Amino acid sequence: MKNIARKMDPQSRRSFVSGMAKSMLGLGVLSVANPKLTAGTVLNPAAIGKDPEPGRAKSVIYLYMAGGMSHLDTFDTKPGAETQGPVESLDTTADDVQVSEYLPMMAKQMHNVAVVNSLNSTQGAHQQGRYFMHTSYSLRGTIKHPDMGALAAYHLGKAKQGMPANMKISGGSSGLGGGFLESKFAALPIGDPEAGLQNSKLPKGIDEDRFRKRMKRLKMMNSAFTDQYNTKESRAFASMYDEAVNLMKSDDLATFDLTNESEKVRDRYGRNRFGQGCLLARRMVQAGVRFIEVGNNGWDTHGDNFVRLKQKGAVLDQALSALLEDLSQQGLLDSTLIVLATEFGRSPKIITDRNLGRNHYPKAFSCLLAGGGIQGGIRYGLTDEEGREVIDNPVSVPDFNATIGYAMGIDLKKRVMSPSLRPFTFADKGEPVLELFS
Amino acid sequence: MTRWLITFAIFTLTFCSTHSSHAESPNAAKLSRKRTMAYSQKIDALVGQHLKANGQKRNRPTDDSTFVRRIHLSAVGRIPNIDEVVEFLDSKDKQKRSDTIDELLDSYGYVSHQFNFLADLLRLKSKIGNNVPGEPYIRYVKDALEENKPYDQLVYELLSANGAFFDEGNGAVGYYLRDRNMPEDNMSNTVRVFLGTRLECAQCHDHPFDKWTQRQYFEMVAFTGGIKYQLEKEKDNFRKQSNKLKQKLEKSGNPIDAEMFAAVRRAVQSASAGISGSGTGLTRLPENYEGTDGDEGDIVTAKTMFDGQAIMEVSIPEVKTKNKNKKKKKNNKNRNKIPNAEPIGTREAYAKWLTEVDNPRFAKVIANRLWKQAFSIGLIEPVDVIEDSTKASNPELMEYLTEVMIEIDFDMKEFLRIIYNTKSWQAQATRTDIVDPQKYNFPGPALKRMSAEQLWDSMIGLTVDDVDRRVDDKPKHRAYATGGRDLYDFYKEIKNQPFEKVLEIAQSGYVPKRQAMEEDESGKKKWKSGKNSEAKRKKQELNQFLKTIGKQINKAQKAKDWRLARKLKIERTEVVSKSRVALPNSNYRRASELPSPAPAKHLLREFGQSDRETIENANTDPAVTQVLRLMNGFVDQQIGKDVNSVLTRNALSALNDGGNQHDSIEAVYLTMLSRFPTDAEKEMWFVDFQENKKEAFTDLVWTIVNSNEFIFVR
Repeated sequence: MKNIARKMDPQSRRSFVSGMAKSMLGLGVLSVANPKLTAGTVLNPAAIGKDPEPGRAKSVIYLYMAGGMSHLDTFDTKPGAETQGPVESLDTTADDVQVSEYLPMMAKQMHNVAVVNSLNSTQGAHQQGRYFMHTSYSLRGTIKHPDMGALAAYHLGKAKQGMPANMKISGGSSGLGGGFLESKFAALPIGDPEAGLQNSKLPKGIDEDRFRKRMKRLKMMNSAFTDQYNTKESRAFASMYDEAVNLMKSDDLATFDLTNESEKVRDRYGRNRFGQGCLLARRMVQAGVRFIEVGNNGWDTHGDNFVRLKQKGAVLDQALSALLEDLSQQGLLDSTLIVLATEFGRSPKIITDRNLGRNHYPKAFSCLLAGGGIQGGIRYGLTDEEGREVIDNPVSVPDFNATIGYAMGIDLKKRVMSPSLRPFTFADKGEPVLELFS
Repeated sequence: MTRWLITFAIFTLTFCSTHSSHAESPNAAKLSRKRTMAYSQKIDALVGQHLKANGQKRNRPTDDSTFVRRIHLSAVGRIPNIDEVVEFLDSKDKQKRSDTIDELLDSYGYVSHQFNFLADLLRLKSKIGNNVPGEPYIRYVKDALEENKPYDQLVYELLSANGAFFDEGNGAVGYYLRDRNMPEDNMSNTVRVFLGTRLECAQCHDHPFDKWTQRQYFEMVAFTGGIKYQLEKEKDNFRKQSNKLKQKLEKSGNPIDAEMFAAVRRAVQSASAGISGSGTGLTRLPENYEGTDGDEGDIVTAKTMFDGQAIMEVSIPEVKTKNKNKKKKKNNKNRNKIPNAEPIGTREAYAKWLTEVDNPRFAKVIANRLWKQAFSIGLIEPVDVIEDSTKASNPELMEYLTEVMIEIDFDMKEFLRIIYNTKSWQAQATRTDIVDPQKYNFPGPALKRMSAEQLWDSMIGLTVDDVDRRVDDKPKHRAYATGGRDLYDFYKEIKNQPFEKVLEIAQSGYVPKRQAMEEDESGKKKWKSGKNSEAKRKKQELNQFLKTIGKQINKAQKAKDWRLARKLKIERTEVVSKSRVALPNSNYRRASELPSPAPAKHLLREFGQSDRETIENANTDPAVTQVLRLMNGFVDQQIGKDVNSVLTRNALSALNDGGNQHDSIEAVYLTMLSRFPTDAEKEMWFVDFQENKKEAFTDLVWTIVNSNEFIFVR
């Protein structure tokens, strides 16, 4: 059955899948998990001549698997193929989708997820690949392009005063950020999700009274200075102190504090940096942050691929499944787009040298989209039976990013000018994959 | 050919070098001072005329406090320490401003500060590529600044650089390695940095706003045609020989360990970084060529951008015309290859042309950039979008500064000396908004927030002594293969060696490491910590000292012998300061001596240090996270509460010889703001000090560091 579905074009596949779902109503799993499927509403709006509604995603959580996540060992398994190595596949709550044995909890969430198996690029080096993935432009020596988070902040602005529009949690993709945009659009970095917002609490031994006294003295000094030097820069810097004090007093600060979550919830996400980062991202969504990137390093498995994939997979599995579950329980999944991205896949050929490794492989790789108007329970695009080549519905990196922009309601044709007046757009010449939307 | 070489030699012979001879030869010093002042006066006259014509006047002169702080921040990139302030304020010498300028420009502080300027311009990074550290390039730039290499010579050396990166003194090849495999981008960068205009638009089509065509763009690229981002010899050596050897060993039943092989590969890659190919003068028009006069794949020859001159004879080698379909099938890598193209040295010709005095832009661009460095605003703004129609805000002055730059043989230090000696620069900063920088008439410098580096270096100066020092961290290879050995040495050892020998050399470092790791779980840790045993020992020594002296201080305090306690505390700060600076990988270093750029979370980056990804990417934009760090993090932890800081010592020393808390407060103001406190300020803090000395001290320090007066350069 799966192979039949794979060979279909996406439209017919989708109605096929929904038909299958209806016929399996009795099984229960799908009927509870995805009422849309059971209600039989899984029609492709593009097919009936109308574009899906853009802008349903008020926030984006962008999970970035740095190093290059093996597609074969996660979301594009090839049971029985030699290139698959020892990894087994699991059936999931999405009929057309299998995942690797490393992702058992995700197997129960795939009805929420659209898997894109046909990503491909020409950028086979980490820095270049990461840059391309984040900006849709190739890395150049003459200009730095803003990443999607900065562009989201630029186009959409802050949803809530006092909170940032764009954040990066435990990431640190060097060389990525606001690019040629003003630095205020760059992500607010949170190194350790459990540490909260850096320096937002009074230093040790300084109580409210003493802080007030300090601020009073500072105001005196600064007003004397700005009386003499009444320039924009001087006023702007002094005004940051008001903003900082407001932030220190505001309730928003509690948003950064994971101890406000129950132990049970924190455990559910996984007690590790990535898991807690995902939990923090969910809290940020609730506070109206537009774009939150959560980094997860260590996918560069040239050696020990299967040992490491098992470890990496367990962390990802727990965190991502918790995030999907949590957001849908809180009714936030429709307004939040979750993206799982990486710079490239890993070679189908298993390298025997370093205890079975896989090398960089940009020719075919997989990413996920969920929520924010994306249709769950589907896969898009296809690689051959060994996971080597994209053979159906190829999706370029700009296309993938355009899809994200479309979900956020960003005008993909709108040009942003660099300082040297060169025009750039959200996803270069990428076209959104409208078939992915419900 | 190289004008600077000749003029420099003549100058050296006749004048016995420039200002470095001040001490030995008072007459030469006087003469050169006179020459400097003549330039400064002429600049003042031109600024004055322009102000007058616009109904404006020069701002009032700065007082000594403002001047001493500004000249330190401008010339050496940090605030003056208390001795420097007091000495200057006390001096009655009429020449004291010019003398201070000379002294500062001859210190390492100048190199450190000017390094930041060039690092932002040239995008200097500690890591220049995969496995390749940027240290040789960084070292080269610091050396150039230390010996005050003329700017035109510096640029010439960058553009004509060739050979191995790790050949001592050959770090200039970093200029091309920085844009590895991107010759087009490198050319755009060259033109933007040194000629002050943007060509990058013409990379993909004729320039929409300026006159440049896409063809002209590629004619410029052709100068670097055939450049190779590797040392041909070493690469061949490695590729061919390593595979041969690998096969041989496999056949012999004793195959090479894969991890070992990879490690050696990385080590050799690092040590044999370099540039070859002196320039063929040829390149091909790119795929999807949009320009008018040419077609995709056409070969163009090198021509200069302003006048389209072929400064070197270049002939296109004869190529058999091939079937077009066949050509398309060829893979991308070979698409741009030009068969039979010979390197004929066009890069050197290009370097010479660009740095020549009759190049209309070269001198002007650096003169304007340095003017901007001093005044915060350029005579031409922006500094690197200069087109034919671009006019300076004061065209006569711009012309004159360009002439001066040429007359003084591109001596950047002398140029800054001339500017700092002008009344225009020594005038008070403008107190109102400068709405249109393109129409600024320069009644004085513009008020500017400290750069990230100025802020960091000033804070380091509040903490430890002798901050103006150079630290060259040896570039060590990270991989185990070289056992962490110095890459300069490693390069020397493997240079021109057959691969078998290279393997042997690498193994001699790798094997002990590997053995240590295999011995037990903590082997890796042990190996690493072994490297830092010196640091550890030093730390232990310091801790021992702190313990002992701490006991003595306690004892003195118990005995209410405040004088002894104070004396011991001062002694402690001196010892701690010395050992902090001496620690390997010490963080108590000026920005120029830390990794470039600093790590993302460093205070330097928070306050806008360039990430060194694009040209002039530093900024002084305000952000909430900056002030949060000052308010709640850095200042309290690193400065206010630091009992061993220079600042604490100054406050303590003020109490010697019958001083009281008033004197301590004064010392803090002088240390941090280079001025005396007003009576009102003194009284206000005195009350606090009476109440709780410790708290009052940290509150005072906190208030000053967070104030605009501290962070803005007046």
